[in-house]
Amino acid sequence: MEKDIKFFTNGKRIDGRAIDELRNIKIEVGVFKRADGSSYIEWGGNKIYCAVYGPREAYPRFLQKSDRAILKCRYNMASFAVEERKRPGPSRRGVEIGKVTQGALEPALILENFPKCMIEVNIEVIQADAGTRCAGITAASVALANAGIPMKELVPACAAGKVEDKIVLDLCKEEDNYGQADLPLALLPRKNEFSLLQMDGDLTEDQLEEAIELGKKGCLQVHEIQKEALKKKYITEDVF
Amino acid sequence: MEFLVKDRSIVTPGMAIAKGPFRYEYGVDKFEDTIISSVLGIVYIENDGIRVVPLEGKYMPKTGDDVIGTIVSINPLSWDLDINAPYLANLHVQDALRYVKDTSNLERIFKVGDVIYANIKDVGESSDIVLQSKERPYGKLKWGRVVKIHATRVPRVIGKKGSMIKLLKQMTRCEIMVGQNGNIWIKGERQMEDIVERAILKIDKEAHIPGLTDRIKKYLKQKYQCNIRCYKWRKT
Amino acid sequence: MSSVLSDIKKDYIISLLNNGKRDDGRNLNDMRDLKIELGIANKAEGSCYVQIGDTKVIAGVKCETGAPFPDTPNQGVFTTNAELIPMASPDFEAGPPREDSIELARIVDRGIRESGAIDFEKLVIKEGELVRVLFVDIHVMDYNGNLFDAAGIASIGALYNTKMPVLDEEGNKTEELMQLPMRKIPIPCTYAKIANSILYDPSIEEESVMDSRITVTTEDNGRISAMQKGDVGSFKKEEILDIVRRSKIRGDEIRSILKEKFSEMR
Repeated sequence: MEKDIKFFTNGKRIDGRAIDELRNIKIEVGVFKRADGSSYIEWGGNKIYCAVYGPREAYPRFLQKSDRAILKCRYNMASFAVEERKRPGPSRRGVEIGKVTQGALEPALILENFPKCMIEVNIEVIQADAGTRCAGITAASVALANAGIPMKELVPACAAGKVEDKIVLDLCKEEDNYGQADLPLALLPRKNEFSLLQMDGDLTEDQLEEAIELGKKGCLQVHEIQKEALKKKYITEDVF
Repeated sequence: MEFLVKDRSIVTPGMAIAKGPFRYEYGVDKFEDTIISSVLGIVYIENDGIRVVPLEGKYMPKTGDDVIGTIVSINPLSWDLDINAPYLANLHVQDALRYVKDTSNLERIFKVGDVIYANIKDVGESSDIVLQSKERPYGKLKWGRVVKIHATRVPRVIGKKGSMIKLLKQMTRCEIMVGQNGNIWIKGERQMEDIVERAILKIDKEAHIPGLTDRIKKYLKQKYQCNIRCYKWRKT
Repeated sequence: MSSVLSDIKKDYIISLLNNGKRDDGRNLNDMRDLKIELGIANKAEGSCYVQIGDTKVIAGVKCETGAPFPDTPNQGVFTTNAELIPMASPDFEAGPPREDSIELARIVDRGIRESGAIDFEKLVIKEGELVRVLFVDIHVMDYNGNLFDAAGIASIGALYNTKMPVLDEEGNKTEELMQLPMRKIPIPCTYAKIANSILYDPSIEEESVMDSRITVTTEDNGRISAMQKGDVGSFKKEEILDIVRRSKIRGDEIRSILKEKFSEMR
């Protein structure tokens, strides 16, 4: 898949960013009426909505756990979110991302308060531009807070990667497609542990360490954006 | 002992509130020696106690609470009610009315869609919610309307020692019943119902912003240009 | 469990209607606030976001090439698909499309196809062999009543917003972009019948009380291009004619809003 792309010019990346710079991120909270909690994130060219329902009684009943709630995550991509039309409906990729999203979010939630319940997270990608799973997890965590679900902390996510043997933060489309490695991470900031860790490509041990450090730095920046978005929702509400 | 945020500020989950040996109540968690918020809410610091009142979330049922719910299904000897909680609540026919002659067709007593004012008799260990509606004022609500708000903001509708609810009742002459679960039933003249509904939704929206009572008073006055004094004067 | 509407609310809605009023303060013929945004998803060739009150719908267009149907060798192919994703309502479930989403897609499809809004003959690259294939995908994001109008407006908006590469004779993409050969702007208007009242743009509460509903799609020249009655219940002839008359006026209003949006876009 190597292609003749010049990834760096004068130390800047294809889209003009520095090596350790995130794309623009904008998060809105409480965008849907029907859902118990919701959010919308624009992360570079990604546009993703997230809705949370619950806690409500788990169905089908055999899924219920008597001591805590279960978390269900569904990741779906609109057929028009990518260059080539994607067939509508569930896909293997979507199922897998749903699963790792659940794994990334669940350690931060306090589910013991709601035995026999389920909490559903729906992530809908309207426009995809590399890094949808990280953006989805970031948005989902905010939507869960907006639904009033108790949790130990918010979960920010961000990818690091390798392009032309350089470790970079938050891969853009070209870097993702033609780069050498991709490492999506989700961080539990207080616990200082990672709850999402995937990697594909090729990294040395040193590079992996560097990438994790850089990814963590990115996650912490994303964390600040999450907190700001949640507060803004309640401070700017009109009073008259 | 040290505070990291101001009293009554908005906190997000995971945010550090204080360090040291505080008594912490609800909405908070402990991480090493730091007290952190576990929900999105407003922090209240009183003496040595810290609590976070959530801004969002479903109603968590407590024994003794009065709630307003809608019947969603009928079982052989009981009804299931939606009370905005994570779980459906159960009303057994024996706890519903004082005298029940015929239990062969429960639909004749309450049907799906009926709105019931009830009291939570018990919340079981596995979160079974048991209701009772035997004595007045419990029972089926007829006419009027139900406004739904966040359960976490119900205390603001009631106000300190019931001051807010008293204000609403006095100024509009509506009957108002407040369910702890965020369902509020209003009955009165239609225009007055409208005013109460809008005022309650305003309280819901602005519950966390200081000066609420004054704003609501002003709002009600504006709405039909009569104030409490005027009403009292008419009464005497 | 949230789909049960309390009897108090039902009685309230009906008693208000008897006085010619509605729960949210609208008159019988009023629409909720309409918001239209074009080109919200750049990966799609065309896209449109429509908000009617709290109902939110996104439609996207993707263009591909493929073989025409044998019975219409000189026409492009057009498909509409709707997804009622679990995001939009606690009652929606994931999985294969259900009755509701199929009905929704078909009503929108018919409104656009039958009006001749798209000049299908201009979508042919090589007669009988290669034509353009258009996909309109409708995503319901927040369901608060009257999906038909929201989906219909979003779809036509997305089609007008579409910019696709010009193809050479072999069907290879060139650098140049072109718009779809659009001719008309069909607009669906949905009315609900509750007791004996006919009301426009039903909210979700009104939908759960309604006896019946009817969707009328009209075009620029006042012609009707599609109609569909839904749910149980029935309409009198006078009622139908009245609805059609109202749909024309309303359709013109919405069309002019759309036209304004289209001219801003260019």
